Amino acid sequence: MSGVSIYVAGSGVVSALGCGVAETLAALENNQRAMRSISLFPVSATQSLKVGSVDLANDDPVLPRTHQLARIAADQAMAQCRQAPDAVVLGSTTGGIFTTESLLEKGGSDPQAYACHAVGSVADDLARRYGCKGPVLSVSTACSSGSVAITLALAMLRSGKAARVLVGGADALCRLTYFGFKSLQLIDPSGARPFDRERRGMSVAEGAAMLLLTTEAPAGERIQILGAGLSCDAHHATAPHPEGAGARAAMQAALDDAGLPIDAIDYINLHGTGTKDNDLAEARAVRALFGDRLPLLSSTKGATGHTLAAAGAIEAVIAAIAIRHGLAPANTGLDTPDPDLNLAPLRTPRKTPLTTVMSNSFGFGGNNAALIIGAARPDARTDAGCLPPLIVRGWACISGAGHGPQSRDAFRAGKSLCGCLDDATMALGLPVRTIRRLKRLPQMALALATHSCQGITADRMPVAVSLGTGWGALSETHDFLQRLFETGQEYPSPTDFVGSVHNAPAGQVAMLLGAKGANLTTSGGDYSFEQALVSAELVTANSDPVLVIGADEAHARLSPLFDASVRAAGVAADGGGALLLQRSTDPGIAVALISYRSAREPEAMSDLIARLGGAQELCGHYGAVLAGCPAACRTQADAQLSEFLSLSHFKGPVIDYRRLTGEFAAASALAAVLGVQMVEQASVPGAFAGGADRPIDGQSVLVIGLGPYLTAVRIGVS
Amino acid sequence: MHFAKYFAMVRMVLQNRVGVNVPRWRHGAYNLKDAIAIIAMENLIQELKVKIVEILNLPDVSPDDIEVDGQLVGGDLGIDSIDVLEMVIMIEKDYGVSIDNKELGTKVFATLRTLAIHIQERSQRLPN
Repeated sequence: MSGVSIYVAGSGVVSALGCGVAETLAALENNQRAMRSISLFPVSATQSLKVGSVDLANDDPVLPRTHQLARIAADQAMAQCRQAPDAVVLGSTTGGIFTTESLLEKGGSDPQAYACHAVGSVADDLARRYGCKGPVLSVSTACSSGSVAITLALAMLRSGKAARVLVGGADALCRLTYFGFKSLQLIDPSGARPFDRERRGMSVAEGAAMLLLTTEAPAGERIQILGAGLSCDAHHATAPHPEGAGARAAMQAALDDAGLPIDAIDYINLHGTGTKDNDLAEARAVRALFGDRLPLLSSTKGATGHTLAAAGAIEAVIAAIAIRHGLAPANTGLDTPDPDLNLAPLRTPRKTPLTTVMSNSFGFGGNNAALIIGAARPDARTDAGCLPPLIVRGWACISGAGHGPQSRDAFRAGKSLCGCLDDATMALGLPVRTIRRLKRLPQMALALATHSCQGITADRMPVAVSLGTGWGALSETHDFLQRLFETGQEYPSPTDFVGSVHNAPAGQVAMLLGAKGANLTTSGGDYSFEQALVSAELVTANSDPVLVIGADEAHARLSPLFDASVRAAGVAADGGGALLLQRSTDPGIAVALISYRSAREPEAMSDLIARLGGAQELCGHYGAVLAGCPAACRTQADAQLSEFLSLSHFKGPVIDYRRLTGEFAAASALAAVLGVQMVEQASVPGAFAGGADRPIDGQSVLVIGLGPYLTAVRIGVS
Repeated sequence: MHFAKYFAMVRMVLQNRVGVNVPRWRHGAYNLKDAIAIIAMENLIQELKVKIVEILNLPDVSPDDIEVDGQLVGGDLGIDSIDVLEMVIMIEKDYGVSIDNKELGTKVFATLRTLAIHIQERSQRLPN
């Protein structure tokens, strides 16, 4: 099988260094340090810190900053491309939070004003803007989001599922990150000085970068994404592993993925945030891996500041600039290298030919990513080819009816699962010290993880974790902002900040289970679980077990404001589901995402049915359909379901599951677990089959998601 | 009332009712300022014990379990670096003493006593 090469066909960037590749290059050549005092929102004199901020020429009064930054970078990346991308993958942690903060502070109660709050709304906006019909993934793994997004895009292109992917990262400055990192004492009052003896922390910044990646070689000079590696420290919520074990594992995985030895790397764009612990751990990891054969090194975060989810993407663009222009950027802000680190990052930019660059990104939750970007090479890696399916090794769910067994019994009796399981019952059996700082969503994730791995032998325990959540940790986010506002921005809770990041629950799961492989968090509204499943499929090329979770919490104040379906239902409900999956040829129940596409096009539903094998195949293969019709788009979803039934001629039981589970973004995860149970028992409960239980021997269950996207997950005996 | 008698009375009340250990007053060993400082220190230590258990939501630790001279962070209590930051915020808010990241790694959080001394020496809100 021939190797698949992945090219950078377009790139765009906006940061404190400037707008566009040309301005960024000029700033890097001049070793420009772009940090200045915060001016985006008022802070007291004693609270004023340097940030990397972008002047938005036409600041949109409605569209949040993150979305605007993403559009600027994406327009540049797409400038030369006339075709729509097949997929959009975007890393973001902030979404519309800056706008949301301003509204919440004023007590804003108009839900319309919060319409762009979701992290996933940034990628959705780009997908609409460029007419993308295919999957949209929103990755939220804190400061590694941008690099993780590129890793997923790379896997998607190699697998043949897409030929053009628009990928990157975007984050705007906001109070949450500014005061959050400040409360963690991770900000250097003098501006970030990565690897300096006197360094005292990072500088929070904003920006975006997007790349158009293609399998087709573009005209002109060719830059490729050669490899990518992910790992998780499974060590601490915020602090890196002291020896940089996870960082080293990610770098090694990226080299292995690219099929390159360490000598091939000419330059490393270090994560180098400027915090004491990060720089120390990274220096140790780089030393451990490269020994005395260190390539040129620098962190560009002393120039740009730390743009969080955008950082990995911005630094990928910087890597491409470095190769194209033979420029190893300086470690801006570095005066006296810390002797304890035993590294000598470049203090001035160096003009030198560069062929292959490694770019590191590490984030909270111990989420590590390394990318390898290089001038086009003939010996591109060969792909793994056809992979065995993901087989269910364990499952768990939480609903208003209770944990897995209670939910299953309620479902089999046709009873409602809608509601919120009380905290004590939900967390029963979890170690008290582990959960003392955790609020509802991370506790839910830990409960799902624990129950789905019960009785699992050591060799089948999850290595990778992929968690989808529509809204993230609402309790922590709310409580952080509430206390920030109540104390005049003086005394926000560091614990709540750490818990508020979308990937905190998946990080907790990794720590509890010791899962040191890829650790992913996706956030795409009602399709977050499907995104987690796609991501899990993309990062598991071997038999490493992966735990796929979908979970959302109901928050009395924020859920109705953010989620139109919760508002429409008027009843609080939450929960989720977890599936422990492993690629295997063993007989078992296989779970696969068959389709994820936009519903905008007239042919969308017929395309979905075609992907399911056509009407005849569909009717023979599937014994039941679980249909997800979010209340916010009930009319549209009902029409889509009618179209599905008329085009497919499906006559079996159709379960409109949100009427049972209640409205919450991760309801499809719960539905998937209920689907697994039906396949396991080879029957559909009588309540949904016109009286008596209906056998579905050998048949599969289809979980479809309706609304603005159409998704299809097949659950069946393999 | 003579100071020695007054001190003895306060000492008895503190020891028997509050459980604060106050050294016996001896002529010449204390002046009034020292005495007040000692009492304030004991009071502060008690106060911190209660606050720490509360703000850190320590599930299996009672205020009395925190030993004044025992390891505060990274030991049996289960207190870690994020808890330290939560304590930093509380100390700034309640005592007006800010602890920046240059001092975090120092001996301030070694034991409850070192923490209390750090606060008492710097707080305008406490007698010292």
